Amino acid sequence: MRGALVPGVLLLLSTAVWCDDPSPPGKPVLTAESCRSPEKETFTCWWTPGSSGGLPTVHRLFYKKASYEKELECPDYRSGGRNSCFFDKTITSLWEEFELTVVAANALGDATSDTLKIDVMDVVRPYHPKNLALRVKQSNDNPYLYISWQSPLNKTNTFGWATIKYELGVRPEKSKEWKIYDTGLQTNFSLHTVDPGATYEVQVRCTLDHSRWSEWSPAASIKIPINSQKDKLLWVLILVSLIPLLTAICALVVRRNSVKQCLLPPVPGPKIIGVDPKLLKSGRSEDVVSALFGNQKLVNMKARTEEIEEFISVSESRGWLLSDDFLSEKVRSLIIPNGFLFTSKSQDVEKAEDGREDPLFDTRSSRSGDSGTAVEPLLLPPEPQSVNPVSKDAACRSAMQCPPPTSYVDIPTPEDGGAPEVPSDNYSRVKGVSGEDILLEKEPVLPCRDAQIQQISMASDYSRVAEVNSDTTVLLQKLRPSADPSCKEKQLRDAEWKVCRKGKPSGTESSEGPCTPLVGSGYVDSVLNFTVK
Amino acid sequence: MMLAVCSVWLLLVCLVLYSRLKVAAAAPTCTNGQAGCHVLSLANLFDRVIQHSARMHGISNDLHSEFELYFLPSKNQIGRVSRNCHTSTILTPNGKENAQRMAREELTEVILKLLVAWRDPLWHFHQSLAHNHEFSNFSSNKSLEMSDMVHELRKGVQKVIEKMKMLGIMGNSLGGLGTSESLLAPDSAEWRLMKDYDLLYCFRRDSSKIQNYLKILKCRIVPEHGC
Repeated sequence: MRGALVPGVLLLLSTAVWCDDPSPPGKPVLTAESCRSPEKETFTCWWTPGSSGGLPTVHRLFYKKASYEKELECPDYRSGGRNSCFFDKTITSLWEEFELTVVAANALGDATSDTLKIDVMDVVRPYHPKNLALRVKQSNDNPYLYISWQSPLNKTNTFGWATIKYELGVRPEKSKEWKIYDTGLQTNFSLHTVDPGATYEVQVRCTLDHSRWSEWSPAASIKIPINSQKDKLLWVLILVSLIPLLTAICALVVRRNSVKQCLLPPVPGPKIIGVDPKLLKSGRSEDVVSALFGNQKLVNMKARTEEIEEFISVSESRGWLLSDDFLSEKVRSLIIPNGFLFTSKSQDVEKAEDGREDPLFDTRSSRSGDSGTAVEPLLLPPEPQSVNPVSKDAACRSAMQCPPPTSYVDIPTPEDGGAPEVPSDNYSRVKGVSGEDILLEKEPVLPCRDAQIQQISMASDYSRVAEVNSDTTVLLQKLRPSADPSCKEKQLRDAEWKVCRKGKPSGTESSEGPCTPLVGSGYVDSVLNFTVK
Repeated sequence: MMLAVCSVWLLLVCLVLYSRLKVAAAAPTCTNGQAGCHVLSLANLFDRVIQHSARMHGISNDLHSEFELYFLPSKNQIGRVSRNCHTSTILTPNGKENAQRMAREELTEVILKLLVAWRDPLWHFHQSLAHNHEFSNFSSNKSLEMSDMVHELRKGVQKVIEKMKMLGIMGNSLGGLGTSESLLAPDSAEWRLMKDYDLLYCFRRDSSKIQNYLKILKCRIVPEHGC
């Protein structure tokens, strides 16, 4: 029995649902929250209908003013929408209690809602403000947001009956909280605390005579543009400040050479006075010769005769630092014994061309006056030093036998005791330079020197560069000490030739070891690398 | 010598005081619009009075809400509340049109009547709250404030009436409003029978009326910003 009860009930219920029997309507619901007076002159009430019971149901609202005993029906069911009742100005009476009832009726019966007692003043609530507008304005190059809206009332002037106060809500795009601004009776507001580039959302609501707040208006958003004018000014300033910088850079680039000279003064290096490096570079023999022996260089050098130059001491001992006339000799005595061989490297030649002054050259020029020997580059093994090069030159001129200026270097030896002598048999005369090679003269032609010319006896291990054949060949002449110190020529006749090939020994070379590769300084240590037959 | 100095000094003091008195006495004769005048204009007076009434209504609202929380009225008490109010005999306009249609003198009279009618009941209400330990000090203070405000507001409205009479805006038909006794209805003792909650309900409604009528009056007499 019990077992059949439950399913039986279920069956009944289901049939009830499925069959949908008509029934009296459900009770409608009418609450104070569902009535509203937007301007303190009219009001509307909405009700919630109950179930219709499956039959067409009619709802009717009845009201009774506290001052009248008679119950009246709602005058307007349409203006407020469905399930509503609108009371116009004539019926609405403030400070009076209204009693409202809704009756739902269908064929089977009716249902009455609970009576609602309201005072219209208690249900005053305006609609939200209309036409919210946002604009960005400028004030002293600072942007601000100008917000404006309109009163929800049709007539803004209510003669003091309805005073509407507004409230703004502003929210930056990324923030979650609304910032509230009380604007009082105004229908506009200027917000100055805005960030350029940010987006803001704004909404507004209002109250009527301390009534309940209206709903928030639909939010409007606006993006504050980045202040282009300020940016323009900034860019203008940047450009203006860049112009002098750019001009400075341009000036630097254009005059980079002089700047380089200023900042990084080149270190004076050895060079051959009177040698035109361009001619040397060209590689033609005649050019080389003219480069080496060009008269124009003589002229140039003549101008420098009276100059007093500073000398560079390459010796380890400081005591040998001298000045003026005697330094040159001393320097030579210092330098040469170390076996420096000046080679006509291009850079040296360049230096020569610069007129930069190698002290030795300068010394020579200063000492030689109009001497043709001033042209002689410091490239060779020691040459008979002329203590009085002037006399030599004089001899040259007078004799008219002077050969073209040679590329000899006087290298005194320390054994001379300070008196430079010209060893006559260990020197080679450089005839010319082709490329990186030094051309040595096979038949050295030396002017006969005066008896005053002293000879410097050199160590037998120096060779004279006689000829330069090609890029890598230096022809060396081996000199033998001669019994006759008076004339170089004799000695030189005995000279033999040697070729020194750069980097590797040559076939004709009798030296046992290769020449030293030309190093940066242009010196060749003949002591180490040359052997004299 | 000393006597001479003293007398001179006294004379100076007297002169100063006299000049001050003169200035003070001159104040009331200052008419509207005169430069350097410190007397309030009618519009200012109205604004002050309206603000006052708004505040009064706010307090009455608060007290009423408080009472509603603690003393929910039974169903029997709801209904026909308006009849229970002792001021229901005073005819008051119940809408905007009715209030605008009323003559300004009539409207002013209604306001005054209301204010006068509530002076005693509120005072007694405060007394009952103060003596009744059930109510908090907060409520008691509020009731006292309310009572004072009604008194102040009535004085303020009377000043406005004087000003209006002086300016010729209002006639002399309000001559009998000076004494409060003339305004009291014969069954004025009815309020003693009212219960606290009903009293608060009635006063809340009447304070709202006063505020609205004052605003209508102001915008009719001195229409300007805020109307």
